[in-house]
Order: sequence, then structure tokens, then C-alpha cells
Amino acid sequence: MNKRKKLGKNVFANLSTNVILILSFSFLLFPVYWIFTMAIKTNPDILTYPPKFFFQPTIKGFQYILGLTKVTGATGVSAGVESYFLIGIKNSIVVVVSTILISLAAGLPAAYALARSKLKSKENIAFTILSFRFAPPLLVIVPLYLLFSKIGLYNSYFSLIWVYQLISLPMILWIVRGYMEDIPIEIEQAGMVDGHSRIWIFFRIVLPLAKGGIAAGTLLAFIYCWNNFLFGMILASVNVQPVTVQAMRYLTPDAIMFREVAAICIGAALPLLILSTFLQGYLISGLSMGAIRR
Amino acid sequence: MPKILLKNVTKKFKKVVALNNLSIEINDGEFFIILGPSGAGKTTFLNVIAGLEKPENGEIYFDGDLINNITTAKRDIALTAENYALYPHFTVFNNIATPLRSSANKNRYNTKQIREKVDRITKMLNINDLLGRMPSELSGGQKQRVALGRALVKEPKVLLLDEPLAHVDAKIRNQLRTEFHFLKEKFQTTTIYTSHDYKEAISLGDRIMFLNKGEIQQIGIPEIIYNFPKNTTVALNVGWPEINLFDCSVNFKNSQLYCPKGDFIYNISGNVLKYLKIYGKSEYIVGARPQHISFSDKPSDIYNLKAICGTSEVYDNQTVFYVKIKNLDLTILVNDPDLSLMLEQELWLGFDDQSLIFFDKETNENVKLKK
Amino acid sequence: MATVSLKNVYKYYWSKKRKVEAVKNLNINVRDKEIMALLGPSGCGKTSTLRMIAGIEEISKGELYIGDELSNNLTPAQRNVALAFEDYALYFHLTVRENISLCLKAKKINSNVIEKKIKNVSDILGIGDVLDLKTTTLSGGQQQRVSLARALVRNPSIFLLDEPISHIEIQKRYRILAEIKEVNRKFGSTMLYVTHNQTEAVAVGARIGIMNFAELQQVGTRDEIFNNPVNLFVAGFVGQPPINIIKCKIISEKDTIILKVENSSLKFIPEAKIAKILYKLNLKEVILGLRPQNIFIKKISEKQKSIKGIIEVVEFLGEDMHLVSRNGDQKFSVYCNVDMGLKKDKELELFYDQNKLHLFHPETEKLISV
Repeated sequence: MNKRKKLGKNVFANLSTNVILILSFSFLLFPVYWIFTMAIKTNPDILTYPPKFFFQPTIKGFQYILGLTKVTGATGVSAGVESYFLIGIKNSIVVVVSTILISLAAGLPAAYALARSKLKSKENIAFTILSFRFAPPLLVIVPLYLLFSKIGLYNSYFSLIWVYQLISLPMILWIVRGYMEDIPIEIEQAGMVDGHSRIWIFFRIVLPLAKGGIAAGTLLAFIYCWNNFLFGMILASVNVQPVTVQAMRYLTPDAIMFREVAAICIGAALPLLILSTFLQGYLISGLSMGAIRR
Repeated sequence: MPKILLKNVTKKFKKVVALNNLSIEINDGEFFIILGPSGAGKTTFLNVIAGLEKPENGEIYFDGDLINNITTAKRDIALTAENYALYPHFTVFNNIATPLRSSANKNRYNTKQIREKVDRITKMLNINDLLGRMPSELSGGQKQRVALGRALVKEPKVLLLDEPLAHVDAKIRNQLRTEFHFLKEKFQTTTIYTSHDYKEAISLGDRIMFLNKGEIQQIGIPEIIYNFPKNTTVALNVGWPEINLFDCSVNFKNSQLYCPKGDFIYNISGNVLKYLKIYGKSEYIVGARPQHISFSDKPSDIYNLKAICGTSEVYDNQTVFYVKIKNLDLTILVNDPDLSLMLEQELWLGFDDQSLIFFDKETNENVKLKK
Repeated sequence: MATVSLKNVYKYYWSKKRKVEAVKNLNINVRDKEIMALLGPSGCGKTSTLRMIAGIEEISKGELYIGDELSNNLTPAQRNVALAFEDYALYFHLTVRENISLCLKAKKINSNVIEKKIKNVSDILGIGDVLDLKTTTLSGGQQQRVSLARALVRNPSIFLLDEPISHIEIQKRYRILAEIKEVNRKFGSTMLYVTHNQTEAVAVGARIGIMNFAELQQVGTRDEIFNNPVNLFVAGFVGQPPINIIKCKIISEKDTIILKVENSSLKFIPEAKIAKILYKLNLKEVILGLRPQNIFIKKISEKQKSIKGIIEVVEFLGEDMHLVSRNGDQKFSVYCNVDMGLKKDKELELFYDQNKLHLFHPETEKLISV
């Protein structure tokens, strides 16, 4: 009799858990679903109310943002439309990748120094760097704009890469420092006893063992930088702006191209998805590196 | 010339004195053991000799050369840490080969030579079949051998071993301890080995230094440390079960000692009395090792102290009895695992008074070692 | 009567589509008021067994009786068993007193009665002076005692302990074992003590059950296991220093059987009745087990046989000694009392009793006996 009671309880518990999970996921993923369907709907379908869940899909939106659609001008010459998407992607990649590379070059040694240093002011320095993340960009954007225009840095890759350090450097530094602190110092000491220099220890021991942290930090920094809108919008103009800002150009005075905006959203998110999948392995191995733990 | 010489070495961590003004000589080829409870300063001692910590004060000499300012990498030492500190992302082979590939190495070895050296060492340590494995795939005992291999492969001048058997399973620990005897023979390197286990110390050590709270309590050969502990701290930490300690007063006229806690009088022999008389005092702390107390179920001349038997435990090859004489608790060790006594049974105890150790009540020091 | 009986109990689980048997056909009885030690290497199934008895793991097949009641489907609370596990899991935001009394308060017991019980239990375990401290401030040994007190105060009929002293400082470890035995004596609670450390098992258990690879190998008192190990595994697992295991060739010389060791001059002569069995079984080889404690440096009785060896290692261990002796290529251990005359490279004549030779079948590894 007891066994039956237990069974009944279990089945009900399982069912209700699953229902709650399905509902939560539906709620969270709904906007993604909505945008995705908007990107493949015809314009009338987008605007109808009640919204259509079954419709005839079209790839016209994606063709347009990729510049594949041809328009015939008044003179009869037909050419492809300008692809804000491709311009944006190029800019995003240039800016964000450079940002990350510079943050890694500066941040990894800094993280090591902050992990192992015996300086009394160590924690203060680390916290100061982290505090850059607390300031909302909106606070600093106006002074930055004035400053950059005065020194001729308006609308250049250089200025964006520089400003993006405010986002990526503290993130990489804090995450990687944590991982480096977790490496037992005896392993580094073993390297010293074995006769190796500090540099060798940094490149051959510390960095490989902090792989998980570096991957995690890089991924997070990449995501935040890629998603940034404000700096690109205010400090740059159309030829330098990243893809997030380029999406705005489909809101024209003539028409609001909902479908194309939705398509560019999907397109902009794709690189992030690919990167996460690629780095996921490192993240997991970094978290489960049991050999380090005692 | 001593191989290693320390002069007045002091190491502090903020306000805590980890090593207090130590001066020691360690000889060439000696297997020198530092014995002490946790927190005594054993790891700090090794780290100072390795150069991983800088002492606030004092000098360290290797073969007569001052090495205070020589970096760890150039000191020609090898160190195994308590948790082995193997490189988790290197194979066993690469772990052991690392010291041979370093820039500070006096010799430059090519790939073939490295392979030969690693092969030789791993064969000696019985880990030759593990070369391709990663540290996370090894058992505690195997990790320990790999750590040893990495230390021995570069044939260092000084070998530093930090509690090598502390984290190994009890069963394997005894086997490895015995194996260390063979390794000791083969390598003959000047070695400093730390432990909190007195059995390891007295089994393996050429000389033992008992360290407590950063201070040297005693240095000597194993037999001396065990049979003539310098003070009650050493006596309590060396030997199991713990030595029985109780206050006594000596009556020189009647050749007796009186223990107030147990309210008993015991006759002691003439030659024991002799050196107590020379020492001069009449109040002592008496130490009686559990194996030096014997008993009988009937009273006699030798067994004349009445005691009540408490619980007992069998440990491997011996039985431990907890007995009580009035208010005095005593532990007795018998080399017979099959002996059992009834609870509350009456026993008559006798001390082997030649093996009783007398400590000065004020200084806690062994009377026999004060000349 | 607080007895525990397992009848044909199995535990399996599925890992990567394969069925893993953690406990195979276990039949064991823990007697009323007994302390039984369950001993074995990691992964042998002893912890799974304990957890099944506790009720925190399902019994895949077979029956569990606590007392006379079939208990497979009772919840842990209904079984009236107390657990003292390796990582004691004390409530760290509560004081010692609160930790101990929590379970009683849940049962709505009178607070005077609770006070009395706490005093009783803390006297026995020596934690009276830390009752009002937060558990995080205590040492490992004290925390372990609090964990035991918490289990004890429920007056359980059965106590289940899983490696309870592994995290305690070495000096205090065996004192807690004595306290555990004291608890068993005073309260008469039946106890099942799981450990991988054979010294602990022998010290605490009236009887010892040895498990290996999910199966129970043997149950018996220390003497029974030492003198009549049922197979090579049991013989090798219990005993410190471990039993000497020597491979021998069986040679018939005149009327007797002699066991010779390859690449050495060692010869062992088994008892006549065992020799008869060896002859009947027509074996060419046999595995010999002889405990270091049963090899003597001085002849004790006329019946003893002798072997020779050269001392390779002398271990002075304070209260006793351990020697490693070599004869040809064969090394063996000898355990003896302290004798300062023994030095390396000395040649010794060593003595043994024939009835202390354990012979094991070379293939099944089972003890060959009458």
C-alpha cells in the first residue's frame, strides 16, 4: 500500500514539474519565436490582428538585408540594395574582436598579478577596475562625445575599441582572476623548484589551467560588447556603427520595415550562438577540472 | 662541512612567528626528519630552504655557500608538496620530464636522454606503465610516486619531502613507508622529510628534529627521541597510546614515590633514586609508557597497585586497556590481541621502574637529559 | 529486539545503459545490541548497504527486516534508525544544543525531558562545555561528537555510522571509538559501522563483515577472520602488517608434502591433514599465506618449523618492530617486539607453527581446509 502511495505522489510531482517548466520556457522564448516568425512573414501577415500562427513563409526579408534584392532606379538601372547588415557585421567583428584581443593581452597578465601579488592595495585596485562596470554608459556618454569630437576621435574604430574596454576588461579580469586564485600555489611553486622562469610558469601552467575562466570571461565580454548599442550610436556614424545600431536604419521615413529589422536581429544573434557553442566545451572543462581540486 | 646549515633563521607571517631563531646542521647524505604536530612550522621550514619564503632573519648555507639570495630555480633542490602539486594538464611522463627541460638546468638534455632518465626513474618507482596517464586518473599512492619521480629525476643536491604519506590510505601508507627504506638506500641524497606521524619518523630517520610552534624541542637519533624524550611535549607526541603522565613526590628515605591523584605509594629501585637525588628535587611529573605497565589478576610484590579495569580495544596486534587507580586514569598496552578482561575487574599493576621517565615539574624537562 | 536482517538483497542502478550491481545477494544479520563493522575497499557496496538500511536508497530486490518487521517500504523516519555520516551535516547556523534538540522538538516532546536527555548525552560524549556555541566554531572532533549526540538523543534502536571518524585528528580518533563503544554499552543500541579502515573495524566491531565487489565475503569475530579467512582477499585485507602471500610449488618428498618457493631456499611444511587434501586435489601449485605476527625470531615450542632469511629492512616503530626479510628472490614481513639487536644484513632463523599456514587454491583463491 505504501508503495502505491509513493508512486502516485511521484507521477503527480513529475507531471506538474514538467508543466511548470514548459510554461516558463514558453514565456522566456516567446519573444525569440515572435521575432523569428516576423522575419519570415509577408508584410500583411506581420500586421494582421489577431496574429497568424500559420502562414506562408518568405525569405524576402533575409534577401533584402543581405543586399540581394534588386531595385530599379528612375533611370532604369537595377542594382542591389545596400546591405546595412553586412556593413554592420563587418564593423561589429572588427571592433569586438579587437576589443577582446586587447583586453586579453592586458587583462590576463593583470589578473595573474592581482591573483598572486602580496601588495596591500591589491583589493583596492581590483575593485576600482570592477567599478567601471557599475557606471551606466548613459552617464558618461555625453562627456565622452564632446571629448572624442574635440580630439578627432569621432567615428573611428579606434575610439569604439577604446571605449569598449570599459565593458570587457573588468569582466575578463574579474573572472580570470578568480580562476587563477583557485589554482593551488604549490603547482606554480613546483614549476619554480623545477627550475622554470615565471614567464614559463605563466604561459605553460597558469594560462592552461585557467582555460575555463578565460573562455568564460571572453564569452561574456564578447556578448556584452556585441550587444552594445549606445556607444556605437553616439560616438560613431554609419560606416563604423556595429550591427546593433545598423538595425535602426531600416526604420526609414517611408516605411518601418518590421520584417527586415526582425531579420537583422536574427542575423546579429547568429555569431553569438556559434561562438557560445564553440566555447561551451572549454567552459565545461574549465568548471570540471577535477585534477586541480584536492 | 655540513651539507645544510641554518643560522638563527626566523620567519614571521604578520605577527605569528612560524620559525623562531633556528640553528641546525644537516649532514651530507643524511635522512633528516622533522617531526611535529600540524601548525608546528614544518612546511614553512621546507619553503624557507627551498627559497619559496624569505626569512626575516638568519642565513642558510649549502656546502658552505650562502644561498639566501639565490632564487628557487637555481638552488638545485627538489620538493614534493603535501598534495603532490602535479601539473594536472601534463601526462605522467611530462610531469616527470619537466625538471629536465628547464632553463635553469645545469645540463641541457636532448629528447633521447630525457626519455632514458624518465624511464629509469619510473621503473625504479614501479610506475613505468602509467607514463601516458593524466594525474586525475591516478590513485593517491600513484600520485605520490609520480611526485617523487619528478623530484628524483634531476638528482638534486637536497631532497625536500613535505608529509609524503599524509594523504595516502592507511593500508598503503605502511607499505610505502617500508618502500621508503629501499629508496633511501638507492638514492642516498641528503633529505629533509617532514611528518606528524612518529612511526614514520623513528622508522626512517637518521636523526629526528621535533618541532613545535616554530621551536626546536629536541634533535636526536630515533632511539633517543623515543626512550629519552627531552620534555613532556615530545613524550606525548612520540608513542602510541599517549604516554601516561602523573604528578608524584619522591620520598628519598623510604625509596618510594607517592602519587596524590591515585593515592598510591610505589617502591623504586636504588639506581633510579640515585640520579633523582643528584637532580635534587622531590616533586616530579612521571611518565610511564603504556607498554611498560604490566598487571596480574593477583597481588604480589611486583604487582601491588590496585586498579579497576575499564574498556579495552583491540588494535591490529595489541590490546589497549583503560584502567583507573582511584582518580588516576591509565592506559596500558599489551602485545596480545586476544587478551580480554572483564569490565570492573580488579587488577594489580606494576611499573617497570627502569623505564619510568621523570620530568621536572616546573620546566617539564626530562631529568635524565639535564647533566 | 533491534536486529537488522538482510535477505537476498540486491542493489542495482543503470549507468550508460549498463546495469551496475552495487550489492549482490547480501545475507547478513546484525544481532540485538551488537556493534557490527562492515568493512571493505571503496566501491565494494558497504555504503550502498547502509543507505538501503537507512531508507535513503531503494532496495532493488530482497527483504530488509528491522526487528521482525519487513521494512523495505518504510520511510527513514518510520524505521527509527539514527544516522551518523562522514560529513556530519550539522546545521551550522544553530548552536550545539539546538542541533541536538531539533529532532526532539519536532516530535513535540516536553522541554524538561529534552533538557535531561541533552545533559545525559553530552556527559557521555564530553561536549557539555560547548552546548551553547555555534557549531562552526568547533573542531572536527567536537563536530563529530555533536553529530553522534544528535543521533543518540533520539534513542534509536539502531545506529548507522558511515566512516564517522575519518575527518578527526589522529590523536582523538581512537578515543571517539571508545566513546562509541561506551554508548553501545550504556544504551544497548545496535550499531552498524561502515569503514574501509581495517584497524577501526577490528577496534570497534564485535563481529566484522567483509565485502568486496558487491558481495559479502565473510562475517565473524576478529579471531575467526584472522585464523580462518575464507579466501585470499579476506586474509590480505585484514591484518597490519598485511599477511605474507607466497606462491609455492607442491613437491612430494618421501611421505610428506613440501611447499617450495621459486628462486629461494624457502620450504614450508603444512600440517598432515592439509597435506592429505592437497594430495587429493592433485594440485601442482598453491598460494601460501603466513601472517608476520606468526613468524617468530625465537623458538617458542618444539613443534615449530624454521625458515631462514636475511634482514633487508629494520623498522623500529617504538612499541613494536617490523622486519623485511629476504630469502633468494622472496621477501616477507616479520612482526616482533622491540629488539635492538636486529640489524640489516643479519641472517636469521625464523620459526612458525604449521597450523598458522593458510593455503589458498591457486585459481579460486579459496581457503583449503578440512
